[in-house]
Amino acid sequence: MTYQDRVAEFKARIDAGEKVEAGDWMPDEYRQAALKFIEMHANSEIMGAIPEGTWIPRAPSLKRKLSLTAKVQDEVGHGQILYRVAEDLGKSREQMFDDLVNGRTKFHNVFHYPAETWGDVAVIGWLIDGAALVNQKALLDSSYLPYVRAMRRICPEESLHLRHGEELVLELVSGTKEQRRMFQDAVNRWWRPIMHFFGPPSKQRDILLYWRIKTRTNESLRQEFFSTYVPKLWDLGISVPDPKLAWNEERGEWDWSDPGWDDFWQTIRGNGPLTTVRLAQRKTVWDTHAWVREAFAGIPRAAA
Amino acid sequence: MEVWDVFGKRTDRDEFTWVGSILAPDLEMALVLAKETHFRHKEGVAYAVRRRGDHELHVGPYDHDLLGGLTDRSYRRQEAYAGVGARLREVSRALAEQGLVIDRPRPPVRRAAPGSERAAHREQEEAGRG
Amino acid sequence: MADPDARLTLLLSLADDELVIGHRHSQWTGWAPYLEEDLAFSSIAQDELAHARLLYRLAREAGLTDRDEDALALGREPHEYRNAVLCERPNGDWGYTIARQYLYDTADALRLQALSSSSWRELAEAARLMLLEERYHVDHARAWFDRLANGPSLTARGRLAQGLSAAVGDALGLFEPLPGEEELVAQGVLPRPNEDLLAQWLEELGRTLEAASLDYVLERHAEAGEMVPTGSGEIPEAGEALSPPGVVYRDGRWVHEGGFTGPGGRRGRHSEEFVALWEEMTGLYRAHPGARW
Repeated sequence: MTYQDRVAEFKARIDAGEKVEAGDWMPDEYRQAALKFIEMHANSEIMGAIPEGTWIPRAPSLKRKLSLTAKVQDEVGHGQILYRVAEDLGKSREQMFDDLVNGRTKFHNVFHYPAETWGDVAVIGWLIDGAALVNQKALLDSSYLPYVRAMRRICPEESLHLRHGEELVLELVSGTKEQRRMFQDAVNRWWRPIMHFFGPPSKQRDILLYWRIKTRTNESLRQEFFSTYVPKLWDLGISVPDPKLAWNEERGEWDWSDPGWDDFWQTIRGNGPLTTVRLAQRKTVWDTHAWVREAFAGIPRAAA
Repeated sequence: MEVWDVFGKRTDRDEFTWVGSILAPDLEMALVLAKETHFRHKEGVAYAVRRRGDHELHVGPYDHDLLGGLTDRSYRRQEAYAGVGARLREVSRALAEQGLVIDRPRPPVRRAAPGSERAAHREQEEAGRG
Repeated sequence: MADPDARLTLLLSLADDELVIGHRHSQWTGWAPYLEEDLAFSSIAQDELAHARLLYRLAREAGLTDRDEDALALGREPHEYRNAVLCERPNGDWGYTIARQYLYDTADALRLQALSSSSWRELAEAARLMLLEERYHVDHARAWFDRLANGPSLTARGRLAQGLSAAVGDALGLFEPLPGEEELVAQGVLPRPNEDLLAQWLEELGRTLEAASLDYVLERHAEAGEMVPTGSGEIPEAGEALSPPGVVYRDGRWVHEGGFTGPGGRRGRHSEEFVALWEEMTGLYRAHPGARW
């Protein structure tokens, strides 16, 4: 069978809703697209550990110190799971880390920003994780089965994080004036990056949609996010810095203001507010601990 | 570094089933690491690892109650956040009394009210289903 | 039972050790040398923090203080913390981190073993519970120790040795006698005096290090960093600071020689590094008195 025939057959399988296993034959384009997407997802999990992680040492109670450590640990765990999926697609973890810390691969825009106050911890824990969960739930339907298995494990943990984030939010909005303002300020600062997080409206031929590696458009995911979270924010008396944002009964969807995409592109290309700093931190830790990896790599294989 | 597949038993009656994989330099390290990579939320009562490509399954040395911790780890599980949905409604009611709730056009409530325990449960179930 | 002040000091010295080392360990979350280890080490950090929480709660339940767990963990002045200086040192590299974890957790397991037969029933129960979790810490520390000490990489061995040299002097401070210790021992609250625990720990450590040909770190351990008085409490004689006993090889084993002189962590005397740690750890809590989070 020619390559083109195999590709056509593979595409027909995908369109019929069949799933792909790691050992199955797949077109090079599929493998590359899946790897690139999953690698970026994995990168984002571990880069996402940084902004929240800066608040572990400053957490305002023992309970929160524990729950925040566990939450960040879970994000690292998601990175571990996803890097394993990506590794089995044919790229070593060593290479993926090397590419990440040297700025050759990408991670989600929201993890390029600072977490300035405890209010940011609440926004990240509730709204960013909420946005991520909207995305990740949609991936439960992906054509790549090892990725689906990863999502089946990750999504329940994310929904736990969501409850955790919601609880942080409730303490702030029902707390002192200062605490309330802390949260409102954080929402104001994070809204635009969250809008960017879902990406610009999907292109006509989105390769990820074509291969059903993901199955929903950026726009439909953003709309779902609005419906899930905006009413809750309003119920808590928290405003959103988009005067246009409202449910349009006639069209059956949310009206919202286009946030502009220049700094989105700047950010994911590596020119975000803290991109350089965070990658430099990662690179330093990565480089200075090369000896640990070398020590482990050199351990001879024992007889099984 | 080698790939080790990780297996767990949900209950004593279950067989070991595959739950994921890790990188580790050798068996002892794989057993130490797999305990926390895959069982820290009390995902099972026993675990095992197997070097990819080998046949032998190596069972972890820790008792079932040591998986996921003995001292208070409820913050790692849903049980710690059971009342959050009800709390949201309560806080929202209190804010409404102060006139702080924002009233703008929003979608009609189709199923259980947003933020209710039922909606939240469904959300979690959906998230957990494959 | 023993004098409440002495019992509170005992609980705080245990709890503050766990809090402060848990704080340091938790700073590796997201940064450990590789991902699987990141998860394992973060769990160890959480275990230590959870143990601190258990002990602070016990202090309140026993009527030894009216402060809650957060007021104890985050609301005290630096000189009121009773942790050993070892726990507060910055993380340094992974060699130091593993060396410290090894020294700390072998010591912690030993003292918890002793406390599990305490005449103070609630403390004995807590110690038994913590000891069960402690087993994993010791397994983890040993697994790393073996691979770094005896693995094929000379660099790894050097890093571990460096870490051990830097940490071992401070680690002796884990056994600094407590104020009121005599009474605690007499009443069976502390079933074995610290000096007795130190002797056993040192002998076992010496054997392990000898087996790995790393026992030279016991003789060549680094001088402890400068100790500074912290907080506004009374400060013992300026310049005076904890000086641990010497360590010598005698009759085929490693033993300590002489006693502790001067005040250390158990008497609220900490390193300069602790002040920075304390400011970061307690700043938000202290900035909003009475707030819920």
